[in-house]
Amino acid sequence: MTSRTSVLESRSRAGLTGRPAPGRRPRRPNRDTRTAAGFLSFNLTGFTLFTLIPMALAIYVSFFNWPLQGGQTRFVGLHNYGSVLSSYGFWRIVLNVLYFVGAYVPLNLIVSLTLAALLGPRMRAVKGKAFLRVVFFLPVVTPLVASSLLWALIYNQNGIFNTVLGWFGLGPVPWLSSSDWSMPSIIIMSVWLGFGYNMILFVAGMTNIPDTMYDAASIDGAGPIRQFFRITLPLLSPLIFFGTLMTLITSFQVFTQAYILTNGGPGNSSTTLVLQLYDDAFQYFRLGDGSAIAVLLAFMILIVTGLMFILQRRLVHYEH
Amino acid sequence: MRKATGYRSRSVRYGLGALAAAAAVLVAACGSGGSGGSNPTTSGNISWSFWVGSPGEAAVWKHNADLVPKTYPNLSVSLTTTSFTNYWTKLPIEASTHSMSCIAGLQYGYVGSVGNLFMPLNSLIKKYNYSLSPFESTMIKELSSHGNLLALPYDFGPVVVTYNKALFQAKGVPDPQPGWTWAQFVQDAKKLTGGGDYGYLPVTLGGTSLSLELAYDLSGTPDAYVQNGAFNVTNPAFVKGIQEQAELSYQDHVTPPYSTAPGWSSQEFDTGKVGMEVNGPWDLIDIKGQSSFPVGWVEFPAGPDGVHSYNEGSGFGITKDCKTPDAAFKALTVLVGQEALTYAGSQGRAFPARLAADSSWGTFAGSDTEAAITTALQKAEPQEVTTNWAQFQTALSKDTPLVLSGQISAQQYAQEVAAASGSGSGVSPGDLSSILPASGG
Repeated sequence: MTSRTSVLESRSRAGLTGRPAPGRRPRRPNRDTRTAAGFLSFNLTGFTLFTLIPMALAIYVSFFNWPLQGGQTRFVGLHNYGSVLSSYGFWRIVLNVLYFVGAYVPLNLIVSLTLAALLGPRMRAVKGKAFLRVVFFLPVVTPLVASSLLWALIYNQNGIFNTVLGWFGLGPVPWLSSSDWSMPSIIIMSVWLGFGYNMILFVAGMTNIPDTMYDAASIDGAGPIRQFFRITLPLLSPLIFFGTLMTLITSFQVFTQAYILTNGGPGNSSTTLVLQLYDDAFQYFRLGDGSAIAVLLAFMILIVTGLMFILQRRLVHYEH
Repeated sequence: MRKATGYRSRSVRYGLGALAAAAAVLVAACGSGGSGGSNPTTSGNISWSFWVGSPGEAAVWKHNADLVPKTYPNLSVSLTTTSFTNYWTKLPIEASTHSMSCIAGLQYGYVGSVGNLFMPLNSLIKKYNYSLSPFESTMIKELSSHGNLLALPYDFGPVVVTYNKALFQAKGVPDPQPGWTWAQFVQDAKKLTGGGDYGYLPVTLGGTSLSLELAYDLSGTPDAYVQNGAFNVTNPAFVKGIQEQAELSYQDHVTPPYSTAPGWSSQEFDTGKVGMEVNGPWDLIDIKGQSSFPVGWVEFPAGPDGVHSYNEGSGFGITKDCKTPDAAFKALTVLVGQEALTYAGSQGRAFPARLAADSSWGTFAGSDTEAAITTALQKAEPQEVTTNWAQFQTALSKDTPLVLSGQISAQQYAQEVAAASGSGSGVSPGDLSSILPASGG
């Protein structure tokens, strides 16, 4: 700050700032504020237009009987919430989401962390790590619809999975047409789709861990596994927390995979909250019910996120 | 400060002036475009939104759109297309922002759920003395609700069985003939099954659920899902109609494994490994374009109470967002006119609802196919739809794999579908006597 202040003062003295003569209190904070506001304005505008206002509108609409196609809009208070909570299959759908989150998030983290360890800076024996990282990251940047269509073919009765199982005298497994297999199928596909992001995140985190820590641990006799659990994991914990939180939030909002692969079926076995929201709002044209589901879902995510932040105080290690 | 105030007041004056000008333009536009005015607009560009299943279909409708300026030089039509499934999502969303196209397609099944987005055509029909007598009368009823005709029909057709002639020949099974029975259908399906081939596609073409048409045929009860005007799928007739279809899959194993892959039901028959499917004349263009084997057409097999099928079709209506309904109506009359529907028929896209154009479809289809449709037509009836049609269709689709695999019984299937569909009622065409006897237009 000292050097910056002196630069500004010298600019002011030279008449470059266009400000009045010295002696008055410098107005840097105001200018800084304006500069910050200028930079933030694009983001803030986008956030306000596309996040804040839609969120407020969703909450507003959730208190109305709001038929999408004509008809009278009518204030109904909490009726939509009661209607959604008591609607056929709603709690099954909530369980589906919890099932998905409960299986997908740990699997995603295990796979991404394992691969990050294998493709990270400590594994010098592994060749072509950069190439492999790109390959594993590709699903993240592939359009979700395209990936889902591809997996629909993979899961087909005569698809790759059943063909391979057939070589061993197993199957065929009705991946998408059985209520027992539909959700696991979506989870498997989602893990393939999503682990690359966390993997890259963790690799970046591992790169920042100083070698001196591992060297010291080696001198003390710690092997690679012990080093991983005693050095890598604790020092990576802030990033693991971030990755877990983001994965958790997005997993509550799972939609495209379920929509393309099973459309929520068979029965309601793979219907998710967002899929039900979509059906209510855009298939059955009940915007009030759809908005109520959106608010309930946001509330669920809020609770889980809050719990995560409470947990991080105990589990996340910040190096100071 | 005074300067600033002056600047503001000038800005306000300019703003008010601009608003007044905009209001004047709007008022002028409303005056010239309103249907209730003494001089309704009958020129300009009319937007038209419709569903297509293939580029070939789109080309047919584009050709017909281009016919409009030939009849009315001051009118032109811009066609926008989307898939059938997306169309029913897109239309209400456009309605919510008052941005629907002037003319839009309406399938009979959706009269109950999106019919309120369409303008009743009764007054325009009377105003222009437009005759409905050239059209198939069942379609006029199917596209009407509470005495209001919501669309002029462009096609119709009985739901029939299409079959892979090459597979029948390869398996030594004689082609099915009119008058065949359900027992023979099952027997043929069993003979066709084996070596990776299957007898029957267990879902409606392009869809993912069991056939309501076959449910009628197998139960002998029309509209088995509606009773006394109320939605009721748990009645024994519906259960029976579903049970026998499901047995083909989980008991007789004559159907290919169900798949949720997009386009599966359409593509599975085209692979040549499935013997029979439920279909209709509107699909001839795609069958001819995509199947590499000869396809036969035959009426439904007779159930315990004889042959029963539905007559299904679609039309074009004017949406409530249309600012120039008179111009749209003129364009509409061309789109369902003799020349347009003869062309659609000649390309196999539509069995024309304008009866005088029917022969064009037969020319493209061949005499055997035309005869099969004509035979089936004599026994086909209008189908009653429900106000909760979208929920009903979604529920049917979601639970179909379970009943086909025997994971749930037909009775459970009906209960699940009933619970998931919610309440609904049948859609009645109402009294159409004021427009049906019209003649001359």
